[in-house]
Amino acid sequence: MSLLEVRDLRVSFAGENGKIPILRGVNLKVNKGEVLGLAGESGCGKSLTALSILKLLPEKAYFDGGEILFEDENLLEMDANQLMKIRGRKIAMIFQEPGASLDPLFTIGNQIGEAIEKKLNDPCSVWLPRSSKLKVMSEVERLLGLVKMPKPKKVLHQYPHQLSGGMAQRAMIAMALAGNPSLLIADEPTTSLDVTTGSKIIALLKELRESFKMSILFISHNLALLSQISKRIGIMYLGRIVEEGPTDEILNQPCHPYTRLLLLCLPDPERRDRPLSSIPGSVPEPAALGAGCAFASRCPKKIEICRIKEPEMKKVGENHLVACHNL
Amino acid sequence: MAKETIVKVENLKKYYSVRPQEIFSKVGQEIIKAVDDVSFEIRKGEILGLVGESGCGKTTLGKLLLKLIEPDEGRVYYQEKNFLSLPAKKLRRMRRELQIIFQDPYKSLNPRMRIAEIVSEPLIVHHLWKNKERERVKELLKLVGLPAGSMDNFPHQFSGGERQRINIARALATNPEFVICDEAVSSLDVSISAQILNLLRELQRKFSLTYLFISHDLSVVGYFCDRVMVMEKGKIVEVEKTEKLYQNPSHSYTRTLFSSIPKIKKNLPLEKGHGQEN
Ligand SMILES: Nc1ncnc2c1ncn2[C@@H]1O[C@H](COP(=O)(O)OP(=O)(O)OP(=O)(O)O)[C@@H](O)[C@H]1O
Ligand SMILES: Nc1ncnc2c1ncn2[C@@H]1O[C@H](COP(=O)(O)OP(=O)(O)OP(=O)(O)O)[C@@H](O)[C@H]1O
Ligand SMILES: [Mg+2]
Ligand SMILES: [Mg+2]
Repeated sequence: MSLLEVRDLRVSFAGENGKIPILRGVNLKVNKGEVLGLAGESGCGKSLTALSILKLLPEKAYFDGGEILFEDENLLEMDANQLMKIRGRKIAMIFQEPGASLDPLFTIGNQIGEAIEKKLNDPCSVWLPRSSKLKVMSEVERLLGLVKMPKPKKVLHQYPHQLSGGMAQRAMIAMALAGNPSLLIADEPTTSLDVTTGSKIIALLKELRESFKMSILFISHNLALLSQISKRIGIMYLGRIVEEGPTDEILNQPCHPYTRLLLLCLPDPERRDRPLSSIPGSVPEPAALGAGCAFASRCPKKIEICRIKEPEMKKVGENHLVACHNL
Repeated sequence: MAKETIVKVENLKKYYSVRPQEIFSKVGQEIIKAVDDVSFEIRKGEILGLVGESGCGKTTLGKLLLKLIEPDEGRVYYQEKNFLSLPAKKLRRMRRELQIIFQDPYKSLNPRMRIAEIVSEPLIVHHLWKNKERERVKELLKLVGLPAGSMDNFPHQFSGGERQRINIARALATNPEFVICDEAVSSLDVSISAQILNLLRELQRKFSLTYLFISHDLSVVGYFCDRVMVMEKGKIVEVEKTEKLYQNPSHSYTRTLFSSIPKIKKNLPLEKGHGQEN
């Protein structure tokens, strides 16, 4: 059963010369207890998709259309009150921007503690009865331990600026887990973590998925990492998902030319003397997009129709979809 | 590679103390040894990697090298001059040659400044490209793969990876001699990351630039760096040529670090010749 379903989501920014379409019809589905990985070019709209799901659009951005169904209810039609009950509780988010969830004026202990207290005061919560501050702090410490924070006791009293990049990231993960969410949206949650800590966090998230049936939308540009946590991934290019399917299949038999080229760019320590390959050309500006396929200007396999018509998602295997005219 | 030393670090030390201010804490004052008596050399024209567990002191060390924070003890020499005790005027001149790409692409850009102002700021401070600053900015943005049309936008209008690239453009603006790259490509997709790494390497070959390349991505470090320095809890535990370190890490901590590199299990039947090797 799907817990989250995003249908034809369109989001634009109001620019000086008219609107700039950024999300141009995003479709995705996260089933209960499933991890969906999302990868794609820097600037293609991954974070914006994540923010849209919580209805937290930045200034000057607005919804142009689409539906976001969570437990079969459209989030876009909910009022502020209903959303309050969902944000941070049923759906929690690890933001890419550390400042978006860590307040510089409060210690880590206080902020995560507050997230826990909110949960405790919630009449619908199935948590323990209201407990003392001390108990909350020991719960914070437990969470910090879960995310492998070094010396959690010390960190309780530290302010965000006193943490290293990776420690701040772990504090945010702990905060997101405090509400015991059924859907976790993790936007580049391990980008500043060393591999050892990163893989411990991945192991933790997998465990939470299994024991609490937590679903995760995992955004990362690191394909190797995605392949460790998600069985299914979506590849995004300029505001659309262009390929989606089982991780093994996408990494071993990529169908979309963009996905193929992306996989060729991975660095290989054995070939230090060669320059790295990168995808030729640059991403077109969203405001200047024509009618055709958004990748056409850089695509080695483009044909006549690519300039005229945007390709629809086509089935190429069981659960494997690709938006390309030339397959 | 030239043998000449460009940076020499002696007994550098930085401790932090954390003071709990809450009643329910039982601990007293705590000391964090962020950088603990570190000495090493960087040779002109080399790319020196710095790796280690999160929180081991890499960023602190980078900031100490540029005197963005004061050390408790120790000396840093640039071309034989003790950088930390230079008079203000000389220090400023020296700063032109020394740049840092900060780890957090969100905090390091002034939200009230337009991109053109951010990238050209070092040019104006050092009186470079006089009256041609905008052209230089355009050129730099192109190098990092951002449209020139975005130069009058504000930082909040950019994605995480785009902000990281603005940081890179700013750091390269003055044609510095030595650049500290603190997780400089960590939020970029592999294609853009490849483009930036190729750019950095090209600059290094052409102008004999030197980099201290801080990263937790060991496959990028393995590809990009000439030597690698491994840090653990504020101390440097191993420095070695990249090939040697990757084939045969001697320190036990390095071995653990290397055992968990995520890899794609792949047998890609990809036809070659599609990726551009520029
Ligand atoms: N306030 C804004 N005004 C105009 N454009 C914006 C604004 N905020 C973001 N954008 C643009 O929207 C696009 C999508 O941004 P988003 O943050 O979703 O990218 P992303 O896929 O998360 O990229 P990254 O991997 O670099 O984090 C980017 O091209 C960005 O420049
Ligand atoms: N201003 C500060 N006040 C107190 N402690 C600090 C401060 N800055 C850093 N620290 C501490 O110093 C240690 C080293 O931090 P640093 O940022 O150098 O780590 P790092 O190796 O860059 O880690 P990461 O890979 O996570 O970025 C950490 O334990 C951190 O909490
Ligand atoms: Mg993003
Ligand atoms: Mg750091």
